[in-house]
Amino acid sequence: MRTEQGRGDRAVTTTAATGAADAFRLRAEQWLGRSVPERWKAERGALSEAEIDEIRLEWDRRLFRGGFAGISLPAEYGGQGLGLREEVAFHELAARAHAPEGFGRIGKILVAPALIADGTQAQRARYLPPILRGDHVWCQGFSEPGAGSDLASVSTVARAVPGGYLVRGQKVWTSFADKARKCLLLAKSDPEAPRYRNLTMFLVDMDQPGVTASPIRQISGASHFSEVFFENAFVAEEDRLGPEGEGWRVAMGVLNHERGAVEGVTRYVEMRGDLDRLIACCAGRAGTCSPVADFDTRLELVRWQISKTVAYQEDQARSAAAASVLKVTWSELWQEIAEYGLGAACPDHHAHWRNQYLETRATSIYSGSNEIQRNVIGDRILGLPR
Amino acid sequence: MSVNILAGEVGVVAATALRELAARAVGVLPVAEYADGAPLPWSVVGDGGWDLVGVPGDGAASLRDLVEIAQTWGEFCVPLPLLPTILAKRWSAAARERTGPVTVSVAAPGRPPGRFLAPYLGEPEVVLALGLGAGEDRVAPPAVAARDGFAPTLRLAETDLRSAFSAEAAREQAVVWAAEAVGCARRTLRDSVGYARDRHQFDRPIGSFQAVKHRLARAHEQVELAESALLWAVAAPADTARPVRFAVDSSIGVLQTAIQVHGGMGFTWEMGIHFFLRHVLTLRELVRGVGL
Repeated sequence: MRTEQGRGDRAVTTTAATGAADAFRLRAEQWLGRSVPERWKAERGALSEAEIDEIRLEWDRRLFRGGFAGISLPAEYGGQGLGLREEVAFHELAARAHAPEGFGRIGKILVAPALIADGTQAQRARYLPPILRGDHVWCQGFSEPGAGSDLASVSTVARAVPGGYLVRGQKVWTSFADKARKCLLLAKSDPEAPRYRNLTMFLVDMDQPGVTASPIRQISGASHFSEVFFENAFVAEEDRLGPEGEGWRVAMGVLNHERGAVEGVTRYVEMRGDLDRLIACCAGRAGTCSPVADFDTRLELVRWQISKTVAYQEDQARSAAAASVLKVTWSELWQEIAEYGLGAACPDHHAHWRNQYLETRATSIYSGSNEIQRNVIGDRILGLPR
Repeated sequence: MSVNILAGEVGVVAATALRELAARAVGVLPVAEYADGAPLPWSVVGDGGWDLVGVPGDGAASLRDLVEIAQTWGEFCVPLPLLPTILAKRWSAAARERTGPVTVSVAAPGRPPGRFLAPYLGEPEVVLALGLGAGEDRVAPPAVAARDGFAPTLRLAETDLRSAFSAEAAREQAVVWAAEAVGCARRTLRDSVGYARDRHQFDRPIGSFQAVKHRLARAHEQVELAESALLWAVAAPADTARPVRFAVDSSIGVLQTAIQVHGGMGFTWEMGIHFFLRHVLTLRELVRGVGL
């Protein structure tokens, strides 16, 4: 097992870099070096929740001022006009630099591409700038108590009224809901239409009577998600994203972004941190830690798989086939690492592994359970019958 | 352009041409029908000069290109010493002087001392390259001490002669064999998906059952990660053994899944999955033998 390896040679994108990409990495690295708040780096554990929120909110604004918001979004919409390679590189460098995670993830990674793909000019003009500036936090109103893996059976209803729709129903497992100004909401708009054609996507204002969000406490004790209740919340006609009845198609596009390379590289860096911790703990305890070398190989393969997804982005079928395995691969590996970390009982990190063990129980469930993702691989990548 | 991840033009052109040649020769045939025969004469690849694709010089294939070629070739499991010949002619001037096929021999852990393993040795025209970037650069006539019939498509023989490899030649040979294994895995996954679509039980295609579908999804994950492992192996001269072993072991895992998905047919001789399995298990021996 190799314990001496530094992190510097493990960049996801350096092997594939051109001169321009190198220049981008350098600029990003320098900017991160001077922009990540010292307080965050040095005493994150000691900060109050209000201080943490303040730093995370400010981080989105700093990203915008530094020219790192919307890296892969087209310049005409206020993005940086760069590619997936730079987007992935930046997320990797930010995670390595221990940068805070802003509140803008849903807006930038999921909502902005959906606005560009399916939004009207007016919607893009209205919503993209505040997403990029870090002024609007978004949440994603997809899952419901009765519609988890079976997302198409959402029962939140959007009823047409003059000038728009009234929304009634409950969403759950909604990240950032307690902070969000806006919600990308999937609702049933036509109770008569057949499955998959009865849904519509909406851009719903969270700041209105009739919308309440309350945090859900998870097994680790932390709250990363909320449940959200809509009691006749109003959404204007012009805030419908795409035509009526096309919500399922829009949602599938969003989910592909959610399980892709950008998400994967952020997880890779977090997992690398965990595994390096485990390697340090196992150093000098030869024989007791044999699975760790295997974890190391498999984790580096996550990195190569991401690089491959990025490199083949011009070849849609090959890129989709590569991206399809990312989420199931990293999520299950992270669980194994945490299980082993807890079992290895490293005295220095006992509290860490207890927490990681409980936190990683969720990785194979969120963003679509791994069972559902394996259905997706079987149905759409391999072409097996349903 | 990403240098280390995408194959270069040479690799893509050669892989495409070899795919067409192999498909024309064996494309629709079950492997069981040609595993013991000679479906593709050497002249078909030799006349096209495909055995010289790796020879150093302008426009030579990179190791990444050879991976592309080996993966494609592996999909067909054709009993023809193309890949050892490409490697031998890349590393040995004496091998380049031959117009016909050339093979190499590697250590044989677990076999009688002094014995070495050489695929296709004893096949028509095949000679043995003794120096690949190391040792004396010459070829030897085939001296077969014993035949090993385990993998009919690799025609393995034991010999008393050992090819000397430079470290880089050994590394390349191991990566190319691993890539061939991944090609075998990709092909059998595709066949298994086809079988799971066609085969009906309980009035449904068996591929519609999640128990089967998820096995195949996992096999897809293994093939994808094995292919990524090859990219890693190409890019990391100091750390080739780990990804090479991963690629070969994952390919064996895919072959095992293929047998299970084919059910009662999976373990019959005539269905032919075992030829791919025997091929990949033997590649694992060769990879170990070359020192990785």
